[in-house]
Amino acid sequence: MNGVVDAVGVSKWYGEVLGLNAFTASFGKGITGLVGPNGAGKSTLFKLLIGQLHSDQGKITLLGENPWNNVPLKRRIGYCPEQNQVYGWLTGQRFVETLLRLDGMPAAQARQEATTR
Amino acid sequence: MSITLPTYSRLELPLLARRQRVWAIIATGLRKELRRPAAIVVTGIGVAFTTITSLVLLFLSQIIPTGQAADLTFFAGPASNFFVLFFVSLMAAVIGAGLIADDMQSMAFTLYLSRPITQVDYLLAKAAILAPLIAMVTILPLLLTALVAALLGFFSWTIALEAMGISIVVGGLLTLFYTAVTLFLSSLSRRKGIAAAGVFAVNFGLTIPATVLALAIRNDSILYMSPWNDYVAVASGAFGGPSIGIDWPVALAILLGVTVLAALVTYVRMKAVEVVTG
Repeated sequence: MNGVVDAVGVSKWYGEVLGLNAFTASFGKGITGLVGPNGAGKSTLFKLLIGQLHSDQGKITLLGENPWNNVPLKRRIGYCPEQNQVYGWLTGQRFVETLLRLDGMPAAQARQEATTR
Repeated sequence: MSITLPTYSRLELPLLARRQRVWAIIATGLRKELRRPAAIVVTGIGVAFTTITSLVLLFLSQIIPTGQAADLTFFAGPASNFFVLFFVSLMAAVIGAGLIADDMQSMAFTLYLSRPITQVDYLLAKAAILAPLIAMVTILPLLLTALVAALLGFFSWTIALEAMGISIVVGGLLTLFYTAVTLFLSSLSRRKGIAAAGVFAVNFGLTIPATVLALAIRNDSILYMSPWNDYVAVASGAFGGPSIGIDWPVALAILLGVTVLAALVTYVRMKAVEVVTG
């Protein structure tokens, strides 16, 4: 499998609760939508893909790489978390600026990009 | 019916050094703390109280003849100032306790880890936020006292400079201890109140019973239990002051051991931490 996302027998447990059960799939380029009922494991799959969770079983790769603690890989992906809360005092502009700086953009450039784009 | 997919261009930039990404977390964290009146008040009052009491001790030593020689041993007094313990505890509780716990609670941690940031980068940044603030109570007052003492001619510049050097080392030890322990406590729970209670338990919960017990059973070894007494023993030993009943090398080993252990456990914990939400 050489897709953008490759998962082989991936399982994830939250304690005794099974979050993802032996998931196997390969997604190529283009748009892929995930549809499923609550508890199907959609969020778990996304978190495994961006390295916020560690799979308990199986192998998952994004762009051919293991996402867990993979900083260069995170630089190449965009992710909008479902609970997107940071600090209440951050304005929209400051929020974007902070995200750009966390991506490694110099402060002055981040400020300019957040203002002009 | 045909669907036209939107087109977009992605701004590709080289990934800058880890230092700059860590600095982004530090800058955001410091901005957050500097917006909180509680953090500003505690830091301001802490610096003022510890500095003023150290200076009062300095002036009293010049006015009232106590037999105190004008040498390094004088600085053991300001270094053991009880206000340092009080305000370090308060700062650790008010500022440090929420550093990680608040981010876990507010989901900011989720966002940080979705960027090119590792758990270790995050932890280093949090330590870099807390340590300088604690150092304002543990190191700065001692430096100012030595500076004032030299400027007013109470002590020679040689002694004052030596005192400043020792203050940085001894105060740095206390700063590292409280930074490591506070971040460890903050990483344990999403509720910063638990971490804050832990800080007070480590300080007063050990210091007061240890002191009372040591007096009651006439055994100073109990004082090793208290981080504050360990620090006072080390500071007294470093400045050549009177012994408080426990050996400073052992006290130093205990402080360093706990600091390293707390940092190590937090590191291992953060390295393995997963973002489990909703």
